[in-house]
Amino acid sequence: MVAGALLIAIATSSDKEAFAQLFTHFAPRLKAHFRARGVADQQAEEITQEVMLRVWRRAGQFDPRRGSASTWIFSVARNCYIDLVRKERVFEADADEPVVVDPGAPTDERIADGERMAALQAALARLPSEQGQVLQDAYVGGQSFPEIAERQGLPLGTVKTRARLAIERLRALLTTATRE
Amino acid sequence: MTMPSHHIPAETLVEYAAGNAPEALSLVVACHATLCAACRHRLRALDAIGGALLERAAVAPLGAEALARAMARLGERATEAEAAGSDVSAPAPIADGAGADADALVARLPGPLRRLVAGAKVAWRPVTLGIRSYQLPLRESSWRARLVRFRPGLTIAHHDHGGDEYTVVLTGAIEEVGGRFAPGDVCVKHPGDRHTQHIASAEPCIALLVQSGDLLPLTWLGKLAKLIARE
Repeated sequence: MVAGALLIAIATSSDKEAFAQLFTHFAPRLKAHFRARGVADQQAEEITQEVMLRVWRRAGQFDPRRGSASTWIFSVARNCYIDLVRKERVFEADADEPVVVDPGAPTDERIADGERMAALQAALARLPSEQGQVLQDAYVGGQSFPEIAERQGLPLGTVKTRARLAIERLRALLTTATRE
Repeated sequence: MTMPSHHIPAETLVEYAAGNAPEALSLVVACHATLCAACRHRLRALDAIGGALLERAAVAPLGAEALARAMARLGERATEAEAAGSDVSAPAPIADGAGADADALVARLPGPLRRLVAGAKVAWRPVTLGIRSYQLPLRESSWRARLVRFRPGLTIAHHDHGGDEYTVVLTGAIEEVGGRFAPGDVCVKHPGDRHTQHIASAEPCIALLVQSGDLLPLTWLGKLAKLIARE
């Protein structure tokens, strides 16, 4: 079963076998993710446990129309990191505040489409190396742009520009992939 | 309400999505995105990058009993802190020294701010002529985060910025050369950016103001105002 179906099985029928499968796939990746952010081995193990427990409890919030399972689990992991490692408040947008008319799905939406995860993977692999590296350092290494700039001896503006160009390039690559 | 026309810069959205934005900036992003469907879509797309990189990530072996430990805990209830994090209870009224519109104000705050001030004893403090503020209770203090209330018609004298500054307009409107900022709009300034602002609405302008440095007045009147300001 693919990860999204496992999450739905947990949400609808508290399926422990589905949880075990998700754990086997994601827990070692989550632990590596936290280790890459400089979290010590034991704490990385504990936070991974916490992320997977939140995944179990909140599986009902997973909406396959909004993105893939790994995207949702990444956001749970990010919030756990902010909460438990940085010990700061987590602020998330209300998705359904009815104050604004939704203009429909803009082009970025196609990046979030769960079925296009493979296209996103391919697009990430095709980024110029310095652009891919900025995303890697930010998302995996947990380095802020000022930290990346300092470590690599680059002006902050250069790092920000690389990040912006990376996002624009991904959008262009995915637009092409959609047309093909 | 129309769609905001002044958005969060792309690189700040990336900082937020990657989990690296300072706490105060995360509040700015969450408030703007609550009011801006376009930026919510952008954030979803940026989350997907995190998902793709997690999928592609290295794996680190867990302790032998890790799965069994997790399985044994599935029946546990969420901790109080975790439950509080997802609290969406009704907000407490703000004690608004300026008038009776306190309840109306709280109802108009975007969700992330409403939940932050819920239960807190909120009181506006006068800063200087025509400006009141309320310091928001964040855990990380390298940035200042405040709700600021500007009197209609007020002019904020020409000034520079000692750090980065993000202003999210919540009620009313702010004008400056090159732009009008209405509810949901974000005004972003960096050191070296200079502007004069004018409160261009008939009602008071309330904004979320987040700064990593001080405001640097460039006029003698502004310097005087800063000198007498109670911050």
